[in-house]
Amino acid sequence: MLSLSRKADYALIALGHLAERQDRVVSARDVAEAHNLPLPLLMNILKRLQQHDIVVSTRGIRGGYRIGADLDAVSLHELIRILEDDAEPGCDQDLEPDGPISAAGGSDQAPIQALHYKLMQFLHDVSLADLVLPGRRIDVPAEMLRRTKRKVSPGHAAAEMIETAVAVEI
Amino acid sequence: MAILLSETAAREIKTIIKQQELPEEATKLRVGVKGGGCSGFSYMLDLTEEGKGDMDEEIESQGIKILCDMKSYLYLNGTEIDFKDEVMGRGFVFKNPNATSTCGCGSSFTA
Repeated sequence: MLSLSRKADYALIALGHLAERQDRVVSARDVAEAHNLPLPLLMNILKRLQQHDIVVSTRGIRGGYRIGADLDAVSLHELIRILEDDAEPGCDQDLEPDGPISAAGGSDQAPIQALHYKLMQFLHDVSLADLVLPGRRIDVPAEMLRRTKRKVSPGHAAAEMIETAVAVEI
Repeated sequence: MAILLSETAAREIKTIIKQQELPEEATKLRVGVKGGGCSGFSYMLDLTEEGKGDMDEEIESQGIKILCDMKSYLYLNGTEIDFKDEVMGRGFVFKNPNATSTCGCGSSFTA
């Protein structure tokens, strides 16, 4: 199954956390504890993002990170490249919309190349702002809206819902 | 104030109710938040045929009946739920005026 790397997942979680708190700096430890992420890996990710000006850091006891870039101007593709040491997501070579399609995973099969092109285009089209900014990002995917699985008594409806509904972190 | 659905969100919810073959009149949208404090909040949406509980607020917006437990309502009052169908996916977006970042503990919301 296609999926984002753990680094990309954690970066998006961290950026979402910082985006909710744009008026102040947040420590890596706070982010890690809030989302149960491994602190050493998260620190590496934030350092990498800082090197590319996606976040800015403040030193000191009350130091930490805050968003440093216009997230509308940064694509998911760019984020993945930053995290994967400038390697093209899922590919060895650059993919330009008007240029030749490079071999995906070494395949020269046209259908696979076409699929790869589409995937790359998607990564270019999605901005980080659309993924992490409150009020812009999707909080509950449409597919997750469904009927409560179990009958619940009215007084306990909320508690039951917490057990059965799929929650999406904000 | 209340919890409001945008026209597109209401249209999508009605479509989902039909797709899931749920009784249109009896089906309500339960809205809630989970979590809190430094770990932030999660928004929840659920379809239910339950009646209004003692601890629920009941609101109607765009022809959809909405249930929200009182605790969640503290954080959701004034929220508009919109629906997006864009390149990065399809889903519901909460525009919540209570979501601020000024809390000393780092909570997403203050109320």
